[in-house]
Amino acid sequence: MRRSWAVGLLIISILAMACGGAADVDDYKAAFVYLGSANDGGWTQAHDEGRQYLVEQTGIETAFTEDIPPDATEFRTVAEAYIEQGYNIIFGTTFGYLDIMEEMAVEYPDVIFLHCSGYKSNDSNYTNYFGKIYEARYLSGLAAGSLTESNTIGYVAAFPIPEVIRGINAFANGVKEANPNATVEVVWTNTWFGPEEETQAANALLEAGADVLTQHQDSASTGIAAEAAGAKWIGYHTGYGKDAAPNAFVTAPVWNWGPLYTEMVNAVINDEFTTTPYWTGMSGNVVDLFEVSDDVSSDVKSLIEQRKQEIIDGTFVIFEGSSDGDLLGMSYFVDNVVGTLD
Amino acid sequence: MIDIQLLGLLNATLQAATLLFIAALGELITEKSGILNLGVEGMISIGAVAGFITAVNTNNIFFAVIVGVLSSAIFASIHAIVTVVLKQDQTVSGLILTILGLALSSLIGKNYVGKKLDTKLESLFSINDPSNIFEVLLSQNIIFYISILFMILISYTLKNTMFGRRFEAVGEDSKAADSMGLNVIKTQFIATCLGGAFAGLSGVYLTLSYVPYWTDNMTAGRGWIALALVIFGGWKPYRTALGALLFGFLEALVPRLQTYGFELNPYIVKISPYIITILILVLLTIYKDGKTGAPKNIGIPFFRENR
Repeated sequence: MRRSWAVGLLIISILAMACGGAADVDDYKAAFVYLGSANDGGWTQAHDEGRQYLVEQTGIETAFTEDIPPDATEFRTVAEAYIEQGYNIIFGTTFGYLDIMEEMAVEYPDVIFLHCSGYKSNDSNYTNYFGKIYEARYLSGLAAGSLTESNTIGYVAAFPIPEVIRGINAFANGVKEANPNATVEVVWTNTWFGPEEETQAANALLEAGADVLTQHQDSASTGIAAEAAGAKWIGYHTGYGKDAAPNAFVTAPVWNWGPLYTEMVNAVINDEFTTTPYWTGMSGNVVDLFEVSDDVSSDVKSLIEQRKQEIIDGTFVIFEGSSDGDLLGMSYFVDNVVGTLD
Repeated sequence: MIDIQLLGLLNATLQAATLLFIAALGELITEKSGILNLGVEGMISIGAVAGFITAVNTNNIFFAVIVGVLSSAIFASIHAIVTVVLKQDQTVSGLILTILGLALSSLIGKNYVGKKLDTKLESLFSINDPSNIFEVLLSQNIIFYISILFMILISYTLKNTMFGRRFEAVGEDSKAADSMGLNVIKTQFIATCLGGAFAGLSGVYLTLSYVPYWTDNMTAGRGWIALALVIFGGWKPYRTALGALLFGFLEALVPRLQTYGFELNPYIVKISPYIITILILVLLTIYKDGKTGAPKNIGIPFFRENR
C-alpha cells in the first residue's frame, strides 16, 4: 500500500512540474535535420551557425544530423529517433522535407515542426520559414555594377524557378542602379550542387566577356574559376568564399539564421508560437551582405549602406508594385538580364 | 581569327574529356582481364580526396599526385581481394566500392571542404590566353598529355606485347590461359589495381586542376559515365578516347550554347552518354551479331577446379 501512495505522489508531483510554473527552456530540446554537412561552407553551414547562435542566446539543448537527403523515409528515421529522445522542436532545412514534415506534424501533435523554404503549414504545430535573400542580392548588384569594365556580368544559376529568378532580377536591378550600361548574363546549370557544371558555366560566361561573376549555387566553383581568370566574384550563402578565392571575392549575400531561430524558439518556449510563416529579410536580420572588399569604391560602399538602411526601414522597394505573391511566382527577367527562360 | 568562345569550347571539351578518359582507360584494363569493377565512382573520389589533402598539407603537387594514384590503387585492391582471390560477385563488390569510396572520401575530407589549394597542377607551357587551336592544345594540363601517352602505350601493349596479351588471354578464356601456364589470379589482381590507379589519376586531375578544391560528392556521377565509355569504345583505347571527346564536348557545349541564347535540354544531355551507349549496343547486336568487343569471361570468377 505504502508503495502505491509513493507512486501516486510521484505522479502528482511530475504533473505539477509539467503544468505549473513559468516557461522553462529546459523543457525543450531542438533537433536539426540537415541536407548537407555542417561545414559545407554554404547552405548547411549557414544553418548550423544559426543553431550555434540559438544555443548561445537561449541555452536550449540542440542536436543535429547531417547529410539527410530529401527523402521521406530517411527524414522520418532521424526525426523519430529525436522525438523518442525527447526532442520537441524539429527543424528541417531543405525544401524536400515538405510533405514528410506535414505528415509527422499530424502524428506528433506535441512536437513543433519548422520547415525551411517550404510553403505549407497547419494551424497548430507546423510552419515554414525563409529569408528574403534577394534584398542582399540587390546590394551585391550595386557592387557588381560598379566593378565591371566589360559591362558584362555573369550569373551562374541553378534552376529557372521563382526563387532563383527573383534573386537574378533583384541583382540586375542593383546592377542597373550602379551601371545602366551593364547586362547580366545568365547560364543555367540545372543543379544546386555540381562542381563541374558550375565550373563549365562560369568559364562559359568568362569566355563570353564577363569580368564579374555571381552565383545561385552551392559550391565555390564559380569563385575558383573567377580567381583563375583574374575576374571578380560575388559568392553566396556564407563569406567562406573569401578563403577559397581570396583575390576574386568581393562580397556575398549571406544567411543569418541565428536571430530567426532564436525568435521562433523563444515563441515556442513562451507559448506565443503561431504557425504564420516567417518570411523576413534585412529588417528581420535574417539575410545580410558580407563585408564588402576594398575593390569597391567608398562611394559605392556608402550607397550600399544607404540602400541597406532604406530596405530595413521600408523606404526603398526593390520590385516596385509587386506583392509577396508576385515575388513568390516570379517568372520573367527584368530588361538588363540576358538569358533563356522557357 | 578564331572566336575566343570557340577556343573556350575546345579547351573545356578537352578538360571534361580527360577526366572521363583516364578513368575509362583504367576500367578498360581491368575489364580486359575479365574483372568488372563498378566502383569507378568511388575510386575516383578516393584519389581526389587523398590527392587534395596531400597537396594542402605538403604543397608538393607531384607527391600529391602519387598519393592520390596509390590510394585508389590500394582501394581497388579490396575489389581484387573480394572478386579475384575470394571469387565473390563482381557486381556487388563493385557497387560496394562506389558506396564505400564516396562515404569514405566525405569522412576523410570533412575538414578540407572549401580549403584553398596553394599549388595547382599547372600546364607544361604557361599560355594565359590561348589565341589559336595550337595554343589551346599546348596549354593543357600535364595529365592531358600523360593520358594521350597512356592511350598509345596501352593500345600497343595490349595488342603487341606478351605482358599485354596476358590480360586479354585471361579475360577471354581464363581456363585456357591457366592451362597455358598463365597466372590468372596475379594477372587479374594487377589489372584491377591498375584500374584503380588510373581512377586515382582521374581523381587528382579533378581536385588538383579541373575544379581545384574539395567538397562532398565531387565526382557527381563521372565514374558512371567512364563505365559507359568503356562499352562505347568497344574495349579499345582509341575509340574510348573518341567517346570521351564526344561526351566531354556535350558537357562543355550546354552552358556555352546558352550564352548564344540557345538552350539544349540539359536533362537529355545528361543522359545522352548512356543513351548513346545503349544505342551502340543495339546497333552492334543488329549489324555485327552482338560482337560488342566485350571480354568473354567478364564477370565470371575463375575456379581452377571447374576446369
